[in-house]
Amino acid sequence: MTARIRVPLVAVLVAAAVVLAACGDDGPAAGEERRIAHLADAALPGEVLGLTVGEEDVASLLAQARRPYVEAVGLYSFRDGDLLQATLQVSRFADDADHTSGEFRRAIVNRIGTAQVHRVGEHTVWITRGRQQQISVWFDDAHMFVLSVREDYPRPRALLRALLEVKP
Amino acid sequence: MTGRHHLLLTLMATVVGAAVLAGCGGGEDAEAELRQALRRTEHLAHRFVYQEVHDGVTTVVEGEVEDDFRYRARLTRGGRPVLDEVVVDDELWMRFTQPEGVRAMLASGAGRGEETAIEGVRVVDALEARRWVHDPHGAPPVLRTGDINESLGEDPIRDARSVLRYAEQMISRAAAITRYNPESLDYRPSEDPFPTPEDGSGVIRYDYVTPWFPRADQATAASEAIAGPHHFRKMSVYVKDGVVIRVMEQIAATGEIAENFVRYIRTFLDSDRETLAQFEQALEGVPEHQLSEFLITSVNHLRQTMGEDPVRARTVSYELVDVGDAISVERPTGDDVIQGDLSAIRGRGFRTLADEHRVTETEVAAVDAEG
Repeated sequence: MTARIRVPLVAVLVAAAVVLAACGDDGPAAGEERRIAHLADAALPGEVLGLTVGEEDVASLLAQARRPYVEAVGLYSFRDGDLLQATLQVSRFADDADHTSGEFRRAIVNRIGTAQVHRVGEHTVWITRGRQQQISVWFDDAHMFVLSVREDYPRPRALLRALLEVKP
Repeated sequence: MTGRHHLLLTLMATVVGAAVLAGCGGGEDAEAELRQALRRTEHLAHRFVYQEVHDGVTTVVEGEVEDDFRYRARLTRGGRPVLDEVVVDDELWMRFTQPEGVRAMLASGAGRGEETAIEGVRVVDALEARRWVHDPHGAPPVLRTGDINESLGEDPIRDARSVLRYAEQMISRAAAITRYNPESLDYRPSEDPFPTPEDGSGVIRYDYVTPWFPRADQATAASEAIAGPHHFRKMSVYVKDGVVIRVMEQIAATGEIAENFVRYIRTFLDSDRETLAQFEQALEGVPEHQLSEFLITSVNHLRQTMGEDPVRARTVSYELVDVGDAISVERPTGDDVIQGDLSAIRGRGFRTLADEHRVTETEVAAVDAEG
């Protein structure tokens, strides 16, 4: 997978909101800084539903992070030719994040937007709507996934279901 | 104060205090338990039978739900199968077994729809020929948003898929939620249209307490003075082992509701003696078995003049079985299936997600509960 430059602004904003935000007061102490690593190889295939999967460079974004609750992040793009249809952010929580607590997860989802809860297969997925995109959030052990799909992409549910099987 | 008098006052205070505590605490507990059961069940796999009787016509939707993105449903009206629908993620299959059913579900301005994969054959032609039509991107919105009351009856499959969400919405329209209790002083068996849980069955029935009719002299706006569906609603949800197994609803003007409604209408029309006299005259001639229909028609006349949606008199039963079991929805296959764009059918066809994710306060609350 090759890095690409044209990461959509909306995806970056979602990523930034989640990665950079501190949730509550029980996170790393103010002033403490923790570098976020690049989450390499999230076990994504090269193609999903005919969309080409690419890994994006988020180094500059990660460099801005303060008091993060995640220790590693990867950002992936899904393209139909040159047209970007979706992005997937995979984050791994730091050991001191209370990532299994419902309150913690809810706080993170609420930072992205008010969402409906859905059951897809065995997974609980929060789905909300961003600017001209559908955003789905789910958790798997210490990982959080944020899938942003263009509003006019015709197979958002199938793409979500396919990506629910990703195990980083 | 005599000792006896003091004892009496103490006893009264204790009884009143106990009643208040039981009323508040019990009601809140019951409501919280019901909300939890509805939310827990909503996303579980299950098979269901939804039945609505409205205007003497029985509509049945039978189906199975694998998860929030996958279901199969069959619509029957008056005992005749009308429509089969299968949704698997973004994909939609529809087949009308009654050709006349197609027209009733056409989107406004749809005409004959788009051409199918067969040259010269449009979607409506294929549907009227009782063929399965497969739209790879045509699945309807996942779950209903907004006030479900406003569009009941337009799409029975959507109504059936939304019953649990509807039951949660209607909690806020009830005066209170109580556990079924035949020992309660408020309980009147003759006013109870629903089955009682069998002893030892483990089934808990939650009842929606019908609110009083509004008082015109206390309303701050005209719309507050007008009676609505919730004033005619009796509703009960049956829960076993924490999951919902049945929902029942009756919207009618019978028994005590009818008596109270007649009092309400007399107060409402107090300043319009001529209309009140007409109402009284008409009421006298109404046979008992048509009283509910007459009263609902009367309130709908009032509501219409004030620009409000009519009250939909109906009896509903929604039964769930195999809740939480592994269910797999099968896609229709074979030569009978034609590819086509089902946008010609109301509420189907590919669209942007703008309407799908209009998030309401209820849904925000649901996120909180999911935790």
